[in-house]
Amino acid sequence: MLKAKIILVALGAALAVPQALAGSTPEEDRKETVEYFKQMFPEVPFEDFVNGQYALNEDRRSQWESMQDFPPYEFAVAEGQEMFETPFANGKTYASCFENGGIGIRQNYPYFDTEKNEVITLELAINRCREANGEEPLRWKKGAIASISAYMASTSQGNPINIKVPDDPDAMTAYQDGKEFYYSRRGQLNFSCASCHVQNPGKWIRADFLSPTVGQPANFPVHRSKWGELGTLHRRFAGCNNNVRAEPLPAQSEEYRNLEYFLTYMSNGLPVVGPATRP
Amino acid sequence: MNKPLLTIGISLALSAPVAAQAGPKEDFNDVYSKAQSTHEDAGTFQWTVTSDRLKAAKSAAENGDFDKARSMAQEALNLAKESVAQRQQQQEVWRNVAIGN
Amino acid sequence: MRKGLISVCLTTLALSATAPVFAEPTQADIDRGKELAFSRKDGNCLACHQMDDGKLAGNIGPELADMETRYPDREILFKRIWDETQFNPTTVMPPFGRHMILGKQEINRIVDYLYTL
Repeated sequence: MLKAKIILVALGAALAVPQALAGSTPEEDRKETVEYFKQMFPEVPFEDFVNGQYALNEDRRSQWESMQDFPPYEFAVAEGQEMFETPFANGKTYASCFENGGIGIRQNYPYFDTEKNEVITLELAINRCREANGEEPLRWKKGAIASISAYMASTSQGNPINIKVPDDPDAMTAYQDGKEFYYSRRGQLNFSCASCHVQNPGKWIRADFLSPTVGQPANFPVHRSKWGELGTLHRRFAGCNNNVRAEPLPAQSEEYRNLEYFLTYMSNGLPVVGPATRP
Repeated sequence: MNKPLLTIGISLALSAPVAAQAGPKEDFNDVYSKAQSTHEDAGTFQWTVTSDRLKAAKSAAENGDFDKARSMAQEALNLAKESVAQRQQQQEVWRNVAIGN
Repeated sequence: MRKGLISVCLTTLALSATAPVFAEPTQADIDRGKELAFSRKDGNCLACHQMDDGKLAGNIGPELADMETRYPDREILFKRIWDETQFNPTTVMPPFGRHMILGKQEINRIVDYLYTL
């Protein structure tokens, strides 16, 4: 049995429900998840979870803090702003596609579109905006789309993540699919996302330090030293899948969007801190 | 294997000179297509190592090395079978470590 | 006389239980085992376990030391590397044998090496 469940039994949470009959709500899942990580890291202030490994490891934190004066993504954010503000050939801009002109809205993505019956991520919305205005879509994982997304995140810094699962069976299915993805073992090495980020956060896997589930998406897009540039969350998903020798799925595939939906919901209430840096 | 097939198999094996020319390539094609379809059955649970073996098998076949092609395809098939088993198993057991039911 | 009997018994035991597969490992076997255990594309044991003189080891699993004391039965140690999920369903240790990450011979060489720790 997983520690989570043992801890929760100790807390007297209602685990007596037979699993086949149970179907906890996203909010119940989130509360249990937050409680699990708070128990695991009682000394970490809740808001600090957005800083991933830096919240859990002093050495990593001081290395990170020394980078903050000249963050390596600054140029990309400026470039993203310029692209965001430059009109398309038809004279319109990205602002026309988004609520509040696209400023300070990162915390609402991804959301479930009950008309299209699908999860809309920020990057998907950016490319759909381009296509609606007669422009070619951008490539998904890095480059211009990461810069624009980074600029949009930077205008939202500090806003609490606010993902909603509307009362709609398709939205619930998307959330559940994302949850199942997160907990399903994949690849020849037989790891799920949870194998590392639920079962072993705060530990080292070779020279990499594992972050907890809660807070993970808050810092994207992220500048990784390993990449030497910004990348989107779906680039990271693909990298993780590849590490465990599972065939990565396409960026913005339904599976990855549903995964992002579940994962971001788990971070509700935590502040947007993207773009950020990671090793 | 049913009897007529077995008989054909044996007679092919006995008529060695003919079989030696037709055999390895057909043998490879058979295993390769099985490996491919099993790999497809894994859905979103495909393994990169299976894809790698399939590619290696294909390029060996293109170079006419059907022994190597066949053995790569066989490895791909074995790996693909495990990935399908993983997919089936995970549909049941993923909840065992999930927080919230 | 008695000593002789015991040694005959031991030899018989050793022969019946282990001899066909597990002959006394040579230094080459042990070296090969270490190589497989340390290599990232093979065992990559250091990803999770501290062991021997391995650098930058992870700490997800326990340190690999005193293996002979902890696993007096070679067959059990072999099986746990083959597929630890059979012993502990929530383990994150890859099922090296079942998933064909390592072959039987390779796992046997790793076991040879582990018994020197």
